[in-house]
Amino acid sequence: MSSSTKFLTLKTNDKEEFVLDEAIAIRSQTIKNMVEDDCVSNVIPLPNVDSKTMIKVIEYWKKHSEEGISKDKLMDFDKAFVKVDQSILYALILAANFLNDAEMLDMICQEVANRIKGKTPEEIRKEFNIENDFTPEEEEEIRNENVWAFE
Amino acid sequence: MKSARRCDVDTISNNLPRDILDGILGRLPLKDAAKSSILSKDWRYKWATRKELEFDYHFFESFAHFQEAKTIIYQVLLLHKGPILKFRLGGSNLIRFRDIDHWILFLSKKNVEELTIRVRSDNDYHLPSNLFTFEKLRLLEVENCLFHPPPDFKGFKKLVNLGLHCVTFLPDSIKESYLSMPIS
Repeated sequence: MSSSTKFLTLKTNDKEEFVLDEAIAIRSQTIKNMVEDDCVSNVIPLPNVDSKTMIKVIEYWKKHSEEGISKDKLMDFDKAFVKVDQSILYALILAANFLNDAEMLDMICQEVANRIKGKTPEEIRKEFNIENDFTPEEEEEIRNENVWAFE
Repeated sequence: MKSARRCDVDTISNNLPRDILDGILGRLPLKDAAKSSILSKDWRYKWATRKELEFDYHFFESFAHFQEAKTIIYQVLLLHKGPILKFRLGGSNLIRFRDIDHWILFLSKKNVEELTIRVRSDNDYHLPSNLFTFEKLRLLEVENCLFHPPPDFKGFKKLVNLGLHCVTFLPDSIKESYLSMPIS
């Protein structure tokens, strides 16, 4: 165990700086690789993440790094964490993907899947703004192709 | 609806990279994933690149007739595009050996890394010779099978996980060589 806490400065694409305990920041495999390869100078630029999203990411990292936190508490936290607008959810997915945090990415992808599951095609189109560009004949053909899925 | 405004964009396809979208579709039950084919032209075959296919007890249970479930497995495989990294089959005692042969033949071109075949039958299922050409296999789980590799079989080089339940080896002597297989 190191005696002193090391801090890293992360700089988002809108020029905001976040000072974070290295032990927490390396939840990101991307940052971890940079630290291990010794290519961390003063500031780590995060060109694909904005500050609004980074605040959420750090909130998640800190909660998941809390010592002795119970599984139930984490589950409640996660549940509340993903209850956000679609646009924020997408930004978080892209951030988790860039930062290479598999656990966080998995959780948010599952949330998007949950928002699709059990819905009718019309409800899904509405939720994700998908335009139905099939003719009624084509739609019929697809229903026939996968009859079992539409029963 | 045709009345959607021009500036409306499909928020999910427009915002997420393809591999992430694949990941999301892969987290849906097969039925929900297949249903996405009707959303729009762009979505029609997105689900067909699913990298994991699981036809287990719950899958077979969800159909009144086994025949129906079998037809769907054929249909899903027919529409499938790209690699299938994980394939699990089991949970029904009505699966015919000839069908499993067909599916394994199909899978032999799909770079399968994890394969589970659980047969419920009084007779052993004779694993087909093309199973022994699955070079990428990392996990193999078989139940009630006859393991009889062709003479030139050199082993599954990438295998790290092997699960055998009620498996007969032919000739019996090869059992030793597999059970003592070095794990790299």
